[in-house]
Amino acid sequence: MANRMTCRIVTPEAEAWKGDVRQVVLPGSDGEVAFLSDHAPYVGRLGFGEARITDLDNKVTHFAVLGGFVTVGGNEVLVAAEGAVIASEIDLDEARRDAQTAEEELRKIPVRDEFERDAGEIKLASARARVLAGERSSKRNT
Amino acid sequence: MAQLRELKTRIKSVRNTIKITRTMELVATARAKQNQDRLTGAQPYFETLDRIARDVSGAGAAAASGEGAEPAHPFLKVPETEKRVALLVITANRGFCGGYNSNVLALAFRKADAERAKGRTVDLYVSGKKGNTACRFQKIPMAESWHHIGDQPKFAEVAEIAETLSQKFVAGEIDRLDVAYWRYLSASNQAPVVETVLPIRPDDAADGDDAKVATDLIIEPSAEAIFESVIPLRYRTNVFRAFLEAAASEQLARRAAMKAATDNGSEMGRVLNQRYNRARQAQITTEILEVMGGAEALK
Repeated sequence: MANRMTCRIVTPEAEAWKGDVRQVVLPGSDGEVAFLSDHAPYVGRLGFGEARITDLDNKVTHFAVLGGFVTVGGNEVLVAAEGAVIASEIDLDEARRDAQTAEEELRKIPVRDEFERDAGEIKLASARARVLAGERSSKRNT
Repeated sequence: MAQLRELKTRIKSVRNTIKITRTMELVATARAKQNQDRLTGAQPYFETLDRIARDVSGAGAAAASGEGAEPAHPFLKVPETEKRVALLVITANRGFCGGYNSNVLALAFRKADAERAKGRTVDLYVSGKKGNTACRFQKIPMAESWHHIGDQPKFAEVAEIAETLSQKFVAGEIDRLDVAYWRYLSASNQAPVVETVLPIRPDDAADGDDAKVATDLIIEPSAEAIFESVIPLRYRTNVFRAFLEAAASEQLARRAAMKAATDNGSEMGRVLNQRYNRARQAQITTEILEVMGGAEALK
C-alpha cells in the first residue's frame, strides 16, 4: 500500500495517538524531520516543538511534543515522547501564560545554578511547544 | 432485656461498617482498573525505549566498555566500593489496604539491615504517608520523605523524586540506589521487591543483544548522542514504572482487604442476628411462662 503507514505516539502515561497516516512531521533535535511511507529505518532524538500528522483524508492533526525519540521502520513511525498533547486539548491562553511565567522565572535563576536553569529551560520549552502547536492548529482551522 | 439492646447496637454497627467497607471495595476496584489500564497504556512506551536502546546499543556498548574509559553516562558508572546505599521505599498515602504498606516496609527494613551487616550505610528515602508514619513510630531515621504522589502517579511528580536521587548519585553521595515497591506481576499476583535502579548496568541498557545495529539505519544526531540521552530516560521511566506498579498493587490490595472485611462483617452480622433472635425468643418464652405461672397461682 503506497502512501500509507501507521503512526503511534506513546508517552509514559498513555498512548497519546495511533492511526494510519500519509505524512508525519516531527520536531527533530536539529530542526523538523518529515516521514512519508517507505522511509528508510531511522532513529532520532526529538526536541520540544510541534508535530503534524496528515492522515489518510489529508486532515492534519497538531501535537505539542515534549522531547523524546522516534524510530521508523517497516512503514511504522513510533514516537516515544516524554509528553505529548494533542492541539485540541491545548488551552492556548493558559499555554501563553505558562510560557510567560516560565520566561520570567528563568530570568531570575542565576547562570551558575545549572540544574535549576535546566529545569527552567525545559519548562519554557514545553510551554512554547504547546503555544506553537495550539497557534498553528487554530490558524489552520479558521 | 439489657442483652437484647446490646446485641441490637452491635448489629447496627456491624451493618454500618459493612456499608463503608463495601463502598471502599467498589472504589478500589474502579481505581485498580484505572491503574492497570495506565500500566498497560505505558507499556508501549517502555517497549519503544527498549527498542531504541537496542538499536543504538552498538555505539553505546562501545562507548561504555572502552577499556579504562569513562562510561558514556554518569548513571552507568559503577563505583569501585559501595559505602553508601540509598533505598527508596514506595508506600501508600492511605491505609485500609491489608498488608500492603507493612509488607513492603518490612522487606525494606530487612534489606537495610542486610546492607548494614555488610558495613554499608543505608539512607532511607520514603514516599507515601504510611511509610513516613511507620518510620517515625519505630524511630527509624529517614533521609527524606515525600507524600505528593497520589493514587495516579504523574510522570512529572515521579521525575522530581528521581531527579533528586540521581543528583546524589552523580555527586557521589550515594553509590547505589535501590527501590522497594510492590511489583505488579498480574491482576492476581503482586509481590514486594527490591530492585537496583542506579547504576544502570550496560547490559540492562543494551539488553545483551550483541550490537545488532541494522547497517542501513539512519541515526540522528548520532548513536552516541541518542544512547546518552536514552540512559537518563530509562532511569526515570524505571522509577516511574515502579510507582505505577505500586499504585496498581495498592488498589488491588485495598480491594482484597475490603472484600475480606465485608465478608467478615456479613458473617459476623449473621451470627449476631441469630443470637439476637434466640435471645428474643428466650425472652418471650420466659414471659409466657411467667404469665402462665401467675395465672396458675390465681386459681
